[in-house]
Amino acid sequence: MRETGESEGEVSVIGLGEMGAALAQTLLGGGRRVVVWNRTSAKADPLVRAGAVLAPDAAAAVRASSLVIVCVTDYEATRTILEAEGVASALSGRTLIQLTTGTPQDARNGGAWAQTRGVEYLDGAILAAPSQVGRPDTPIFVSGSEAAFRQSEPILRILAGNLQYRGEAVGAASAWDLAFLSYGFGGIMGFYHGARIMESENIPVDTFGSMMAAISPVIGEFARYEGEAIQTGEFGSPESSLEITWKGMEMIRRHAKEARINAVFPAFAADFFKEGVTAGYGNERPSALIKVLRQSA
Amino acid sequence: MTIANESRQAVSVIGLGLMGFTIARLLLGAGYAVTVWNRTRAKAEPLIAEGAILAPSAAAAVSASPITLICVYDYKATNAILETDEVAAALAGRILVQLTTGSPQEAREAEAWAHQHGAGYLDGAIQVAPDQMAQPDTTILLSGAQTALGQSEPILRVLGGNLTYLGEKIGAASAMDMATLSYLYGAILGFFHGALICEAEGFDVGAYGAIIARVAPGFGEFLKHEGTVIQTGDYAVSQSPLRISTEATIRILQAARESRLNTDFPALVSGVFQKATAAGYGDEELAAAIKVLRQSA
Repeated sequence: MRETGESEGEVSVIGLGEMGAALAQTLLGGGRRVVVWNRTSAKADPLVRAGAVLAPDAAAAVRASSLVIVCVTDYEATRTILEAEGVASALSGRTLIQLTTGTPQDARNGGAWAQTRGVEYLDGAILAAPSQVGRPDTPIFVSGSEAAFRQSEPILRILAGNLQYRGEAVGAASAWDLAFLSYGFGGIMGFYHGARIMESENIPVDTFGSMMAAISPVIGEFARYEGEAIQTGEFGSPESSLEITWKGMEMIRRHAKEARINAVFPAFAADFFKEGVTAGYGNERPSALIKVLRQSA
Repeated sequence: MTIANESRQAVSVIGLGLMGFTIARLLLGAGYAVTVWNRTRAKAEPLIAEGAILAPSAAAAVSASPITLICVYDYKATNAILETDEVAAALAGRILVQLTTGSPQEAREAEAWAHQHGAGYLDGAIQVAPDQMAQPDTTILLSGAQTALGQSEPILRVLGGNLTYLGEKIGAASAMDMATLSYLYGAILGFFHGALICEAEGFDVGAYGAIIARVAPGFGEFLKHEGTVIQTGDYAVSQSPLRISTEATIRILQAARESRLNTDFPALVSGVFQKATAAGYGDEELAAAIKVLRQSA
């Protein structure tokens, strides 16, 4: 193994799990000089064969490039690496891009850590699977130091064509990620229960999937409409009311009982909507439910 | 009762709520001889002014046309109107198109009753609000005997350009309707939680809705894939394994706790996914979570 020296690389990638390896590979493919480090070095072998330089330790990886990407299992693993001997001092004056997934609070803690050590810090969320890294439509959200963003933008664009800077508030990228995921998982839960309805009535689930693909844009428009209502606080004159939503959900719950299928989702959703109706918002838009949700933390 | 101009085709509409009223008006506009009946007469007045004939009873309305559409509040109402000796006697050889919202079981019972009295029967689920009727993309889900469909189709085409026939099994339209609502309501609950995240971080919820509207079609394509996976039962991973999603749901829950948001929704979703991981589906395709939902709650 060669010694990793100063300015050996343009970018260092710490953490070579599935995602980290995909990031390093994509950067190599983009013609960048890449230095890598991983707790177990075997993972680096394919990358070294593809032209990456393996650093002997995390501090050396940090010293090798002005831009350091960390992508490990979680923030605890990140902390262990960053607090290893010599790493923090080596990072001073460099830019750290945290692509480990975490919560907005994790990101804020990371930002605070970086600030006290003179490290420029960006927190990012990759909204894609490792196999999708590097495509023109791959979304990565980043937030934190704007200077750091401008400096690292060309590198990040290699990883994600759909790169979105979400501002200086370092928790923003993670929060946007979670907000997207929340919509997705809500849709998935509802979709799975829908699939169970199909199965209970002997209707092919792939037919259902195709039909839901066709109406998904309409549901997106509905979300936009409700988002505006939440933002402006105007929940009146609905096309469909919270009460109608609740009634619809109660019907789905009743069906689940009749058909003897798992009722966890419809029971939860029906009770949720009912809370909003009980609170007196039945004649308002479905999104009036947010007024109840805000209070019941 | 006056008989309509012989040259015009006759159709009857029972129930003049917002949707029934809209249906009757559209059919009048398309040149049909429309007979209407409603529990309270006042709702019929504007239609009479436009040329509709008011029947003195539900049985008279059924007798007036070869095809009767009925759209009332629920099956309790529809049964109260239809299941009389007079209506039963008038039904033979005619077609009843049920546009009232109900469960597959209710549709089955109603169809059995109609067939018993010699009537053709179709169940329909209108997928839009009254003011979105009669557009080329207005979707009406239909199920029931093909012969009844063939005879009713020209009338139904007046109401919506996108007639989706789901087969002879009468429960199919209502099942698909409920499954669609399940997806819609799941997505919207996820959206509401996302809105809480946005509010906690000071993001514009309107902007969040706009971004969701942009990604919604792509999400629909993903669901289509999920539907195929469920239908074929092949849960081998093609994109990202279920455990990644389980971790993401835990992250949403964790972030909600950190920001002191309502945790009900993320707790529900995360509970289902953690169950799936615990059941050993972590390295399978995301859709494997449905195996947990196939067990009764």
